[in-house]
Amino acid sequence: MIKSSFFLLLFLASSVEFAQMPVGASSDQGSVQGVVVSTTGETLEKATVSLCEVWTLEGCSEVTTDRAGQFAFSHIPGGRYHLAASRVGYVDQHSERNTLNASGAVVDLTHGETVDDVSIRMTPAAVISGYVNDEDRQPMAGAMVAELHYAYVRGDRQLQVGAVTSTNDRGEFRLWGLGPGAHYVLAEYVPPPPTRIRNAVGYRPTFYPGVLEPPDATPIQLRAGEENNGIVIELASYHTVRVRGRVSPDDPAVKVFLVRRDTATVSGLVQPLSTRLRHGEYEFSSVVPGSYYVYAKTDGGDLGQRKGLMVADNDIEDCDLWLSKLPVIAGTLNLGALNTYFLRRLWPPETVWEVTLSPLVALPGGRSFSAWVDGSGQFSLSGIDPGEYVIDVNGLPENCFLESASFLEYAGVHRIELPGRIWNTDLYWYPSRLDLRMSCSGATVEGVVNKDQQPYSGAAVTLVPAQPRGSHTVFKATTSDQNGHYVIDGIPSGSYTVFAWESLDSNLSALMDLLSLSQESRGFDLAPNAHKTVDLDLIRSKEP
Amino acid sequence: MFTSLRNRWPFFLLLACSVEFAQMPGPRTHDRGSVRGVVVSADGSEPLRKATVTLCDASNPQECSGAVTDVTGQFEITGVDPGRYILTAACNGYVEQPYGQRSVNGAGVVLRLAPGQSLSGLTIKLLTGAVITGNVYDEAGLPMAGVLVAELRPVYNWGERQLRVGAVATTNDLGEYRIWGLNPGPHFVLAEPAPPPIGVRTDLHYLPTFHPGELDAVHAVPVVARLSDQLSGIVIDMQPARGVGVSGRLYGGGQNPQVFLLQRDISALGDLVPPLPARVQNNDFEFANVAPGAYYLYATAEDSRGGRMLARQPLQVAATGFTRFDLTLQRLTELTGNVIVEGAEKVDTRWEVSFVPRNGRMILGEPPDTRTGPGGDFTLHAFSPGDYLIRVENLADDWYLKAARLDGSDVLGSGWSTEVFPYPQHLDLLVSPNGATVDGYVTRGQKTCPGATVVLVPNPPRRGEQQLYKATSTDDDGRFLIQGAAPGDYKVFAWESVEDGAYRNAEFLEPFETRGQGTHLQERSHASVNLDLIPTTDAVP
Repeated sequence: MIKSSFFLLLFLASSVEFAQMPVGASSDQGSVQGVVVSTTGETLEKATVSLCEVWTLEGCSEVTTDRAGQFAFSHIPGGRYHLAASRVGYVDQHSERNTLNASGAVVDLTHGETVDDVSIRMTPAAVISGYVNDEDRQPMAGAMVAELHYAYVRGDRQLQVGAVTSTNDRGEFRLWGLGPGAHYVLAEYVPPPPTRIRNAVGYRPTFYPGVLEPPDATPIQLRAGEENNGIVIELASYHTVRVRGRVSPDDPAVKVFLVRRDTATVSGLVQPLSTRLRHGEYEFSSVVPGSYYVYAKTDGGDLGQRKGLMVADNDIEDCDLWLSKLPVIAGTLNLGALNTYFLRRLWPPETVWEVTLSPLVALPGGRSFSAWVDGSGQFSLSGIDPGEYVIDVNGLPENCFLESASFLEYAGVHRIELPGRIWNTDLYWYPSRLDLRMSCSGATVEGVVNKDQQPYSGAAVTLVPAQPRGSHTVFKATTSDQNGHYVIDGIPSGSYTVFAWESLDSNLSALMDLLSLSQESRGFDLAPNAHKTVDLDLIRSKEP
Repeated sequence: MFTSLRNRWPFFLLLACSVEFAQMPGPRTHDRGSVRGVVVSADGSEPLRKATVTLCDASNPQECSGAVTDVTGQFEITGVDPGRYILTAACNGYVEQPYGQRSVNGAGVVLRLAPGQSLSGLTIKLLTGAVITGNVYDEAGLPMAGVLVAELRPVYNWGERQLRVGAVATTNDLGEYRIWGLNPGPHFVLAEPAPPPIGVRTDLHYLPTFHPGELDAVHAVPVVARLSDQLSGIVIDMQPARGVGVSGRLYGGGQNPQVFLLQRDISALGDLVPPLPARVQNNDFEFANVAPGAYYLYATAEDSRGGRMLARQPLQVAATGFTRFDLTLQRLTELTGNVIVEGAEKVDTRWEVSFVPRNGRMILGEPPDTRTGPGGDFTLHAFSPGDYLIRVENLADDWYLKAARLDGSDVLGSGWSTEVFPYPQHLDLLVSPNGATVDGYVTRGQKTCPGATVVLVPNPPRRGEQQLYKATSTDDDGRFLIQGAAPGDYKVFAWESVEDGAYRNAEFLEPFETRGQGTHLQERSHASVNLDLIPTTDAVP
């Protein structure tokens, strides 16, 4: 598994983030105690339990359960917290802010409460193992293997990469920690550098049982704790061709990348091929036919150029690139009509805002870019790799959100789709401006979830825009706390519906269907800064 | 033509790949030759398919091309410029080996390729590698998943014994790992659990631990592998570290400060052991749970003009109590420089200047390297402190770096250890086209010896000057060629096999002193030295 090395990558990137104390933290101190058990009832020792502040998911603490499965947090500053657990052999409970995957429980410690009867139930994890073969049915060492499953991401049902590993010298792999449900397995092999190694055979990313496109792939159905040890994937093999060209200027800082375009959603598991110049020339000796980008960039990111490239059956000898100066993208961050210059007086001086561009498909090897917002609300981004990114601002105060983003370049102004905040940077290789506007007039919805007229804790509460429910819809989700109470804040003004589910599987496969059946539920309008109380009746799970 | 139709101006961006291009100088294509051969298993019985064969420039090992063998083990590398090369083969489950190797750790032969020449019939034999497998367990005997497991082997680095990371694997949910394709010899196995996410306070953490359960490499038990050994059950038992608090305050101003602790005593492990980040609020920083040991404490920040700031201090964390330490950030200053060619008014070359860190690792960011302007001038903004060997990479074979002066004082001979400069510095590099040449034959009895390692070693008192050493290997005729040597007194040695860099270590070299041939080199001199091979049997203590 490359989980830990992926972490290293993140860590070494410049986007290191530090915990910030919640503004206006109460002096009251709460405590949480409880036990971690498996769904079959046994107590679990050595489980890691984490407690994170709900809004920032920062300032987290972790404790480990003892032999009796018990854990305790004490001296916790007042606030609302996510509680989640992880343990080898069980499915991780993620607690992600503002996604429907927020499955960690919420505990309310605002007034220094003592919560001492929490029980966290963990589902035994499933395992998929097997091996990857080449075209001669020989074991393929060093192939990347990924587990994918459908999940709702910003309102779209997409294949998401979960566990990732690589094959050993015997071609074997083992994907672990999987939740119950349908899983797809993808194998990909990219030869290690240098790129000037001629191999007549190359491979394309291949889904189990040996197909190229997700719709043709066979899902592997797993129950909790089940192991499927017989998954064999034969990589789809192709005759390769040579791609080369010249780059001007010939500089040792120039790196040339070859990136597949046609399987963008799943490739990127491995780093794109890249090479330096030799006598002003680059060469990729073994390229599988398909649609690509060739792009060249100096390490400092100041010069670059990019081309689309269609690779068929013949060598390409003259895919030349002239590098030109890459523009610095100048940006501003405003609050409504106010420049952030004025905001500096409203927030503590150590408040740090950082504009980040994260790859839309979060995969190892994908690079994030970030820039600090200076005291006058200005920032500048440069040397951004072509691709699709989600724009966000880190460190925004509670109840503030990114309201709009627009992009100005010589051909005119483009509004970047919000609230998805997805920015396709492919086009922007020209002098340009990025204007971000944030709002701190988020509305709040809160209430109590009831089951049989009794408050119900641990319900999955979801806030859904009334219309439209198409692409990039922002859902907000939380869990009802120990008193059955829920709070969702930082909501852009608009029309919404809110639901409380007894259980919602983490893949949310049934959510869209449920929503379409729930048209009769009452919607409500939220004005800026509105505070609305909506008590909810629990929507019960169907009996299995 | 293209599957993505997102682009609104396809005519503008998707330039077809046939745009006319000004002719740039490069080697003439009709001078190019080829290299052909076959890769087989060590006993010669089995052709190896999908072996990667790499041909690298003998004097610039970064410049490589290659081919993958077909089902009959055959390979062909085409479009090869004339020159001197080392040919290497790697195959899944086998030890990577050069062509013409005389023994397991020996160098390969140098292949000479004349313009347009085609070499064929080369056979590379590969030995089956050893495999190490095992488990990582915690103090309760439960498997630890997602732990990075590295195989390390002792190497010589600048003449000092160090451990260097070779193969790396990660444990699965059963705590299992598997490392393969290993050389014969001693291997240390190190387990490094993923650190807790940044900013998370945790009550339990683990330090990098060597097999069988030692924090210190000195007490680690090496796993000794012979060829094709399958060494299973190599268990690493992890114990939770009892940490102490470290805190302090940053001075010197600076925005967005970040503070890290980096383990000092196992810095040879490169990036395997990531720095430990602190919680920083205002200018106060805090590490909640630090294991006792030797560290570098360092902080980075930006100054008001976007420049980089740095502070670095060695820090000893005691086993008990609370460590308090304050740091003062300093602005990283500029290093300007000039590459001057001796005896020439002006040479129109853009030089590649690089600074090679002693431990292969940088405290901060990437090792600086730069390309000069056509006049030989360069500027490195925000020069990071470190322990460097200065090199000019694109010198012709018979040139050498003659002097390096930082504001007048010599920084070439002894390597260069620097802290943050208090003010901008200037580095003058003098390169000379008048390097000396040494050539000759290596023989044993009446026979010439291909694939012997030939090393030019400076005589005392210049043994510490790393840039003076030159190593090569003999070609098929047992002949060697060393160019671009600096003037001085040297000894030349020829080993049948020698560990890379061992000859920079005085203790290693001592028993061989009488086996070297002395030579005195002057600028542009040409010395011919014939050497007796030092057989592998003599080299093993």
